[in-house]
Amino acid sequence: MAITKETVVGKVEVVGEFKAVQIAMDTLIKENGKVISQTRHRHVLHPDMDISNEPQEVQNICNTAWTQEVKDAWNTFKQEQEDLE
Amino acid sequence: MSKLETNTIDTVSGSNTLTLGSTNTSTISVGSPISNGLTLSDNILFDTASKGIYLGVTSATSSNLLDDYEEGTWTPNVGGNATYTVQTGDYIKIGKLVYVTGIIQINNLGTGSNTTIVGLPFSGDNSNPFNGSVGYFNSLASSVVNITPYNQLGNTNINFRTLTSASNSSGTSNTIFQNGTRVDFSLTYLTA
Repeated sequence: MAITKETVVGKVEVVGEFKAVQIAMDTLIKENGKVISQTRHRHVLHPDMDISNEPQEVQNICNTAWTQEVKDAWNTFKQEQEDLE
Repeated sequence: MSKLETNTIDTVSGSNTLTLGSTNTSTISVGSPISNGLTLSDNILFDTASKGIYLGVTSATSSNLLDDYEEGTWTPNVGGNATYTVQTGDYIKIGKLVYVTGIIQINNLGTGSNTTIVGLPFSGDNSNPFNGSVGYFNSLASSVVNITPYNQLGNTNINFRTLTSASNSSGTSNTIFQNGTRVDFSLTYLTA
């Protein structure tokens, strides 16, 4: 009876005007290869964030979605929000 | 390719299984409404992601489509090199609505933010701000009479409006985090 634990990218979504990349990481507990328990942990990446520690498939999606135009629009939006506070 | 004929099944009993082939695109149609409800003995599982159920209508209306439910964890943090004594978060997402809870207790703030928690599990809608509540706090950097968390438009941050004395206006975002600060909070917001 082999119990194993692995973490995989469960879902990646690109959402909204500023192409936020929503990532679900699934932790799978398996017994003899069959999933017996699963939990999900989420985080979100925005165009000005460091993605160097993300899985390669996530980095690829970010680099495709985050054109210079998107990055500029995000930075402008962030500045506008800070100015309101 | 086999032809799917129209047949009427009068009675199904025992543990019979009706199989229409593994790759067909047939629609199983019940000739008339099921008048006595529908009872299933197991979960419903769609073979395509993002499919759901139209609730309360008799036609496919997008605003009545419930096509997402999810629960999981997230990690509230203040960025920088801050370290934590407690750092937990849970969420439930129903459609576009997200409910999050979190507990954060700073061990050493370091270069972390003294005003903002980041790391919400979904990006917020950028047209409406959302507020939450703080159920417990300890060792804030400022003495307050009121503290209210809110999601900044369009991002994954939580800031806190605070009041240091009675007022007829809501507070502003003030410094609240320092070494040892603990905040237990919840927030409900809409996703992008």
